[in-house]
Amino acid sequence: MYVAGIDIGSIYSKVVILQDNQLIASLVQRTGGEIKTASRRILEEALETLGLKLYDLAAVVATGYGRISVPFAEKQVTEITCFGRAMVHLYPEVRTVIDIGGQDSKGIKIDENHKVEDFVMNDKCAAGTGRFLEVMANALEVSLEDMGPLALQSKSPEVIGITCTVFAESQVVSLVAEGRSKIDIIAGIHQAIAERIYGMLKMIKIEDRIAVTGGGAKNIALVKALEKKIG
Amino acid sequence: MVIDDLLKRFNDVVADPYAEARKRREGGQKVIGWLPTDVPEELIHAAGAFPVGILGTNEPIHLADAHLQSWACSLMRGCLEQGLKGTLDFLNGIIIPHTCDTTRMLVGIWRHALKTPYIDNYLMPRQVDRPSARTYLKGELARLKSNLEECTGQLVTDKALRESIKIYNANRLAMRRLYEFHGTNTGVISSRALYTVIKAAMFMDKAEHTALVEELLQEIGKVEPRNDERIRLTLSGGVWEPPEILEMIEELGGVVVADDLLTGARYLGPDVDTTGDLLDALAYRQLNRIPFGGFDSTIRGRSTFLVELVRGARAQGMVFLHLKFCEPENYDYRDMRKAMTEAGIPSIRLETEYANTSLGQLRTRLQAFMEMMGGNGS
Repeated sequence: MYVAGIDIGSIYSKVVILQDNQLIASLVQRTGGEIKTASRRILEEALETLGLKLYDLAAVVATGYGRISVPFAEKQVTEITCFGRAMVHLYPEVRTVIDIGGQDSKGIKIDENHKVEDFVMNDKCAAGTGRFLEVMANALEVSLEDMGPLALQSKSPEVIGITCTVFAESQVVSLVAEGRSKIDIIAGIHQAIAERIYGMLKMIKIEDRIAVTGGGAKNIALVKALEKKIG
Repeated sequence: MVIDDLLKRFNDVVADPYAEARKRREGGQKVIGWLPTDVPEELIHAAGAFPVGILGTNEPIHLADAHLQSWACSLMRGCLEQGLKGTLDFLNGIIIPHTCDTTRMLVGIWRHALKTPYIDNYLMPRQVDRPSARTYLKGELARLKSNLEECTGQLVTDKALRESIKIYNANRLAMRRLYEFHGTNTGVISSRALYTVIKAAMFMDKAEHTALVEELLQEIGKVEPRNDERIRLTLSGGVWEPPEILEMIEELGGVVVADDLLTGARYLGPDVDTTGDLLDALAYRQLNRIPFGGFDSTIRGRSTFLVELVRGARAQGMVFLHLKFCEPENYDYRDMRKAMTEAGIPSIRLETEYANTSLGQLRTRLQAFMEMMGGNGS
């Protein structure tokens, strides 16, 4: 039996196809503007690699911020519940999930029965999200992928106040104008995001073990900064 | 369908809240507006004026920024915006209660920024359990009464005040019965319809509103009760804004059965005794209203009240609807949340704003909460 899960995020969309609980295909693409067509396109592309068609699937579940715009999904489930479910398969010992997405960051607590016990989510502000990192990479003319590795080279990170993406961006621009080291600025940006997320996580009790998900998990410096904050 | 027609009447009122007030003004009656919450409308009514609630706006706020910082709540910023835009030019007077720092300062701002002929504040005691609170409040009500008499040119006689109070008591009774009905027959009218009826009372002629609610009660009483499996929820906070939240709750498999909202159950509160000293009775009502972030009782505290509210309504969870930048709610939240956790009641806080709340994020939070409680999607 084939089933598919589709996650329509604010920046990227992801598809997984499972056969009898085993992952057999996955695909990640930019979401773009038209969610309805994008969700169909990405799922069909993933199916094509297996030589399957949409009607071969027994069920499709949609999640992510665009979940209600996936017309062919049987069920729409929030990403918060999905993370809880996913950890049963991936790392059953995880009790706290930190998700750093493009539009928002979340802290999710999972109980022994793998049910979501509590969660926090940042407000509509972009500070502390992947989008923040993107804006800063842009301002510094560094590719998003290089941000993490560059930050790790810094010996004395700059201190960036991060109440607001727009304010932080102008602070970064003035630090560049002052001739400060780009690497130290980048390191400061990572610390600021980690601090912001840490502050939010304090609203739920952080418990071992912890998993980091979302695009932010791919950034080594961010994960290291979070590890240091949490201890 | 008769029920839909009746509900449409209330909907139309809420969609154009100041229609009746403008009509009254054109007809030569004085119109006195009040800001949330707790202004004793009975006094305004007994002075011969038409009381109308000023309850913010979901339209963008620009003009208010020149007077009120953007980190004041969007409810008060919206009220000021309406004043500055000229939407409230029909007012002969306005009463602004002191419920928090913002409302306290708003009176002064209103005085220098607007030309409403009569501007007053209503200073309620904050420590409601003090023995002196009732005596103080009686004096404050007397001051308000005398100012209102001056504004309208009509004396508030005991006879007139008693009549006004009776009209308001009858209105509260009708709305209370509607609440009770909805709590046991949740499938008949929607949560949003219930709250629209309550909100409409703040803009309409009270006797007319009571008659309409009674008619609605008769009609919904004829509907065969249905088994409703949805998750029963309670709301706590200021206002049910943006209104889409109520629909979202129902779409996600929930139904609202009780609340302590300013534009909900708190508006009803206890009745006013008409047998003795009327100002004393009005003071008693005020001091015995359901608890609120602005002035909480230390004897019958809000956290205990909320736990009892959830249990009494046989609700499964609590949704805190907090207006962004509402200090009383935000400072209280820790205690309220703790009380819920200790009582084993799942709860979630949604931070809301008039005008520009991003509904997508609210939906994710609400849906995840419902999933947590074993509803849709789990």
